[in-house]
Amino acid sequence: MKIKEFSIKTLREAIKNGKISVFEILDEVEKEIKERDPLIRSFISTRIDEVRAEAKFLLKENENYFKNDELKLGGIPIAIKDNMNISGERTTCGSRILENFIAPYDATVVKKLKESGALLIGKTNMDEFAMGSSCENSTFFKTKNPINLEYVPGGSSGGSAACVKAGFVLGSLGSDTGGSIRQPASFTGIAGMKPTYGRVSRYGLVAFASSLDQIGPFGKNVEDTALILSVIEGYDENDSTSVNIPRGNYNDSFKKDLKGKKIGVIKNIEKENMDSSIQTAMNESIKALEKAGAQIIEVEIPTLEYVLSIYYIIAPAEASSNLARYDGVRYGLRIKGSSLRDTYRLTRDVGFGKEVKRRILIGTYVLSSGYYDAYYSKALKARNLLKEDFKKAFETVDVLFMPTSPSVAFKFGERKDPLKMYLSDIFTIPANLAGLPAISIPIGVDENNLPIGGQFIGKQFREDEIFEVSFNLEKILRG
Amino acid sequence: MKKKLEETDLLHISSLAFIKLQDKEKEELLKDLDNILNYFENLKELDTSTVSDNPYLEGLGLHFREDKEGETLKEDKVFLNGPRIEDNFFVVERIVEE
Repeated sequence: MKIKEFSIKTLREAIKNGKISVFEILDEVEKEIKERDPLIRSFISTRIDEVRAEAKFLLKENENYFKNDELKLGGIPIAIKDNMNISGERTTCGSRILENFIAPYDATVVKKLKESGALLIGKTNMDEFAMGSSCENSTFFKTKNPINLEYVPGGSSGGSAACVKAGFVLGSLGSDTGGSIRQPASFTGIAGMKPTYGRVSRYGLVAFASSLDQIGPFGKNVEDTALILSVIEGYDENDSTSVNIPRGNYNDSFKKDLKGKKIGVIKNIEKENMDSSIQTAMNESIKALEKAGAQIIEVEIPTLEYVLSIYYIIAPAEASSNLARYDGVRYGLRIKGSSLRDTYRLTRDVGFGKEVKRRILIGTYVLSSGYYDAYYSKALKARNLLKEDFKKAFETVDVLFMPTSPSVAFKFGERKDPLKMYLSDIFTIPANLAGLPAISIPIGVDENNLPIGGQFIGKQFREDEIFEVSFNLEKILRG
Repeated sequence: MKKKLEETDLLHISSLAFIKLQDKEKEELLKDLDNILNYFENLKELDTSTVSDNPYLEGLGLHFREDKEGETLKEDKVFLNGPRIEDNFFVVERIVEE
């Protein structure tokens, strides 16, 4: 049986029962990547030989190592977005400026995955510094959508979505600043979730916009996604935004039905810029949720129409500050100039791609003297209004349901105008701005067989509730 | 309507951001940035006169870890990434004139 036909849950059983060994798994993963990834190009680097050696070492100590019940991901092939550190491996962030950067330590999430027995197969392609919605902004190459190679896989975590869809691995990690997990999950027809801000440590994640960034899992289904989250979450003193709360208990989420669940749908959502197939799929899902006993309630998020402006002020502002560290002195690319200042300026011109420069410049502008109040401070205020809108909505509903993206996957080169590209993020950004957990699951396909994603947004730290409703909807839709 | 972004504005912010722009990049960037800044104009419609610009998420203040000794990164691993290292120092262009 092929690895790609397993879920994490079923492969774990097979490993525990001795039906398959980690070496058989690694051989097959290696073969599949060798055969099919040259077309899809989801990986920037792979490390299968290293994993094999690590596994050999562990098994020498204890021949039943991977059969241990406590290892939640023992023997499960997992991929990591290339903006998170695996000690001794390159972390390129899809950028020329970090092309040869070797991570000196493990990110907390990587450490946790290793401790859970996961096989960390490789690092996946992404839009440079996670800035993009199509994976076209990677300095190295474009990742293709495994469903149809003419289409983008979404972004910025496009590689992490593509390698799960292609079946090279059973799960992966992405990072989500404005939709970078959920939108590619939607474009490739898998599950992807962004946890509540503060649930997962970002120590060892390359910072983009620190008030928004959050690491989260991709999986083939809701349960696998929850399982990965349960491994990577938890308080970490190395991330000052990490919140010290008990770990979530997600197992119970998969035992409940939808009776009495209050699901909010947003009344003032702009339908004119949305594919009609997405509206149809949304309506069918709403009907299915209702039939299963959920109560559908209309709510308003009046600030919704301003989220793109808010986000594209705040995120670049934070990025312009975070990316100031790339100066060619202590690590990364250095292009020698006539003075130190000239070296900085040349290094950053050559090292950063077009979109990254665009965002650093926007961020610098909105923070600069004379413009701070009109842009940055105004956006912070508007963000607080949005948070209030969500708070009010969650007084009457348990979760919110909306599309993940206003469109299905688009073709390469189709969105050259940056503003048009930014529009892809309109439905994913709100959860980041408000710090809320959200999950995207496939809810249908359009006439070209391209997947459509539906998104559930939950209350702060109520991942259990979005797992519960998305699991039930997934079950109904799979029939 | 906001004032159109001029090349002098672009040069000012690129110098603040320490990015030396090539001439061929400037025209396109100017157009893109101006479009994006125009898009932000819709925020003006929002009444935010009674709202704070506190950037922190509710209930999630920053906190500090306990002040205790811990492991730091090993020198050899850190210097591995330095573009130019001599005797455990990062070497840069001369800053002070002779």
